[in-house]
Formats: sequence, structure tokens, C-alpha cells
Amino acid sequence: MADPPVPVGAAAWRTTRSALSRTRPGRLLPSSVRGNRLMLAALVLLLAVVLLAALAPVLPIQDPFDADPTQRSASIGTPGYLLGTDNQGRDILSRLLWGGRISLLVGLVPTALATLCGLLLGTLAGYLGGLADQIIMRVLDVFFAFPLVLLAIAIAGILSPGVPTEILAITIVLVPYISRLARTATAQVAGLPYVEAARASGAGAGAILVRYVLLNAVPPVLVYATTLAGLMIVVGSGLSFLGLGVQPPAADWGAMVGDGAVVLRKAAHVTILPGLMIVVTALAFNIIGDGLRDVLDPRT
Amino acid sequence: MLNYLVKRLVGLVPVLFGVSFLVFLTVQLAPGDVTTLLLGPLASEEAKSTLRQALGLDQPIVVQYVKWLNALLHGDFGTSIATSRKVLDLVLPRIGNTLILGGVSLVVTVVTGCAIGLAASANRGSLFDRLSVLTVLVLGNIPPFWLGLVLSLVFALQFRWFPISGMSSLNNGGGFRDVAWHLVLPAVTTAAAPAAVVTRMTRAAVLEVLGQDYIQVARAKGVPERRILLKHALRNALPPITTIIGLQLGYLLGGTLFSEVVFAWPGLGQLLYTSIVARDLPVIQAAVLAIALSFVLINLAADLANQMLDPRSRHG
Repeated sequence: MADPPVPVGAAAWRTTRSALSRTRPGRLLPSSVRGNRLMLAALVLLLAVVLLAALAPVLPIQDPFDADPTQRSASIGTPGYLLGTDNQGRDILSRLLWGGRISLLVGLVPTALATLCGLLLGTLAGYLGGLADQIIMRVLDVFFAFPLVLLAIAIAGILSPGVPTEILAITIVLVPYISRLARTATAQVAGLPYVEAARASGAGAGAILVRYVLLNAVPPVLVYATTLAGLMIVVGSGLSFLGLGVQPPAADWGAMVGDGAVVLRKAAHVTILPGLMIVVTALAFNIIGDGLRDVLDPRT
Repeated sequence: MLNYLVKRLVGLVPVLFGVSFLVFLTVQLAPGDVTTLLLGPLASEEAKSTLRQALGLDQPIVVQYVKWLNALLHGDFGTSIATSRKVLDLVLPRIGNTLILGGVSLVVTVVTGCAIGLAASANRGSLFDRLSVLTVLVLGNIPPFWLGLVLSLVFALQFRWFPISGMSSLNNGGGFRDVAWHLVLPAVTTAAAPAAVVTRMTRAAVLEVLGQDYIQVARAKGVPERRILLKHALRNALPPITTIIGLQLGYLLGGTLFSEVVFAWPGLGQLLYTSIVARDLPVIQAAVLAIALSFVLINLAADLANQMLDPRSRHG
């Protein structure tokens, strides 16, 4: 008897998993040593940012809302204020760590939510084809008619401002992009012989969809989502900068940039430091996304 | 070509209906009652219900939508709640300003992206190449609003080379040179991230073409390197580059909003922002519609340009 059909999707996923689970970090990025080090550095840096933000409540830092009116816009290195204070005399280091919790949340949660929705919609459209595909894709076309950032701003601007609104707005604008990618990945395998063979061997539609089709769409979507997470930290901070996201006195990095703008000439560090955090964190996600792509798809 | 254009235009019709319906829905989604917004929080229930009837808000959503769309198509975008002016009068002058900023930013994006990408690929592995790769990585992730603030700190507040805000100076009332002067920082701010992506793609695409056999043949025949680079390599690397430029248009338009807010450039983005702050729903709707419509048309133009540059995409 012939061998059972090789499930490309499941196989690809298994390679992914084994590639990711190799303990030696040197093996993670096979392409070049230089790229390897870069991705490793990005991973370490991101981990540090996440840890520091997560540990903000227990770290021996100032209260992020404690304003010292005698120390407004203090410069970097002022005793008691390692990174200085903002225009209300609040400790910037503490606000950066507390703000990082919101910035990371606003970048990661919508990306994760949109990835789930996008995978569902995209694989359904790609696998079912026909009318369902048409309806799903035509509706998504409407969303593609808006520039991503502007749609997020419009949605967040119309609802009442706040972190949940910000998360909802970013999730909505991301779903079409991830759906389209998942659909392409699905459509590529839906017609392949091994799916046909699985169907002939009596596998149910749900089993085929999950085991053979969905798993095939996961690796490229995962790479895309990682890169998007970085971009969404930038977009989310933009919403907060405009005052549509997190509300004072709480602030994420974007809102901190906005707060600092009023003392830009006098105390530039109030604006520059939170912006640097956005750039560095988004950059780390991007480098990790690139590295993941090399691991998952060695052909490119 | 004409067939393609007609096909695309027909395809746009349902999209535009969808866009208008989505924008229409935003008012229904807005928290709070529109009548409260119009009459103020102290208005009586009676006054509110009279107004609701007058505005047709008691009718089914589809009927409201058709009426709203009909008014739009007759040029009636309603009245601004905050300023009591006709919405169209607020939006129309802004469109040109945004197109100036967006257009110049696009030129900056394309020219610097292609030039740096080409120079980097021609000198692969050189210090310039490595520096450009690094710069691209950083610029590609830079928040436009922050870059705008940093640029204005350095070039407007410290060196005073460029004005910090506005579109023209009040005392000499505009003119080409004055507007160009005010345009430099916002355009650079808007173009930075898209230019980084274009640089990256240009470098990769040209490097790929340079590895092809026919380039070796051209070199063996003694074709000058300059000619190989511009004539053989860049020309054949163009399709992926123009595609990525097309994909950057949305990000570029989004970036103009932040530049407009930071540099007080009187465009659609700034109007959208101020009307969001004022919760001026009719103006928000019109601004979003205008931006979406421009975006759809710009994308169409980009696709047409792609078709002309890459004969292969015309068939199949």
C-alpha cells in the first residue's frame, strides 16, 4: 500500500516547531551569523523591555503619578530622578516603565485578536471559495479603501477615547490584512492532492480545515503578525499621541511624547525618551519578524 | 489597457458604496445621542424628539442612508456642528493642501528611496551600504509624530533653518517659495518611513537583477557599469519597486495626518483631528470620505502605472 499523503501544512508546522524549539540560539537563524546576532540582540532587548514593564509595580521606582512641583522638567541625571522629570515633575523612568505596559498591550493584544479573526476569515474564504469567498473578500475590500492609520484614527475618534477603544480600532483595521494573507496561503493548498486524498479517506470538513489547511496558513501569518506587532506599537502610540487612546494621568509612550511637546525647547528629553522606546521596541519586533521568516521559509 | 481601466472602474462601484455606508454607520456608532450633541445636554425630551423627526432619525437605517447618500451626491455634506459652516466649504480647500504635502512627500520617498537603494546595491558591502541598511531599519520603525517633533527641535528651534508650523508666513502671504519653505520639514517627516521601505526594496530588487546571467553578458561585452546599473538593472527591477511604492501610499497618507497635526499644516488630516476633538461628526464624515476617495483614486493610478511599467502583468 502506498504511503499516506504528506500533509504539507502539518509538516511545515512541525518544521517550524522544531526550528523554534532548538535550544541553541545559534541555530535559530540559519541564514547568516550577522543576522543571527541581530535577532538574538532584538530578542534580548524585547525581553528586557517586557520584563521591566511587567515588573514596574514591584521595582523600586517612583510613583508614576507623583508630581513634584519643585522639579518640573528636570534634566537627565537629576538626583532621585535618573531620567529626569516631565513638565509636571513626574519621574520619567517610572512613567516609561508603566507606560510600556500600555504600549505593549496596545501593540500586542490587537495583533493577537486580529490574527485569530484573520486566520478564521481567511481560511474560510480560501477553503470554501465561491460565494462565501466573494462575500468575505468584497467586504474586506471596503476596509482596504481606507489608509490603515486613518481608519484607526476615525474609529477611535468616534468612539469614546480609552485603551479598550484603541485596542478595538487597531484590531478592526488589522483583520483585513491578515485575512487576505491567510486566504492566499489557504487557497494555495486547498486544491492540492493531499487535501483531496484526506477527503477521499473520509476525513470530515472540519478536520481537513484545521489539520491540513489552517496549519498551512499559520507560519506566514505568524511572521506577518510579528512584524505587524511592531508597527501597531507605532500606530497605537500615534492614537495616544492624538489623545484618542489612554487618558491622563495614565500615559503610554505615545501620550508621553505628546505631553513633552509643550516643553520641547526647554526639556527635549521629555519628548525624546518615550519616542526612543517606541522606535527600539518596534524595531525589535521587526527584526524578530524578519528572523522568523528566514527560519520558516529558508527559500527567500 | 482601456479594458483594464473599465474593469477596475466597475469594480470600484461596490467598494465606494461600501465606503459610504461604513462612513454613514459611524454616526450610528458614536456614543451619545446626536440630538443631545446638537441641542446641548439641557434640551427637553420634546425638543429632542422634534429634532429627531426633522432630521429623519426616526426612520429605518437604510432609508436614512439613501437620503444621506442622495444629499452627498448633490453636494450637500451638511453643516458643521462646531462652526455652523457648510461642511463642503471646510473640506474642499483642505484637499489641495493635503495633496501638496502628500505629493511632495511621495516624490521625496521615491527619489531618495530609489537613489539610496541603487547606490547601496551598486556598492554592496561598502560602508555606505551597511549604513544605509541600518538607517533603513531605524527609519522604517519611526513614529512620524515623534520624528516631526525631533526635526522641528533641531532644524526649527535650534538652527532656525525652517519654520516650525503653518503653510505660509503671515507677513508675506505665501507664494511658491514661502510654501516650499514651510513644506520641507513636514514632507521629510511624512516621507521618512515609506522612503526606508522603498530603499530596502530597491536595494533587494537591483541586487537580484545584478545576479542574473544577462548582466554578466553585458559586463563581458564591455558595457559601462553605469549603463548596466541604470539601463539594465534598474529598469528590470522596477516592477517590484513600483508595487512597494503603491503599497506605501496608505502609510504615506496616514503619515501626512501626523505631520499636519505636528506642523499645523492646514490639510484634511488636521481638519479630521480638530473635528474629532470637537466631536463634529458631519465634518469627521466628510474628511474621512474625502481621504478614502483620494486613496482609492491614487491606488487606481498606481495600478495603472504598474501595468504600463510591467508588460507581463497586462496578460494573465
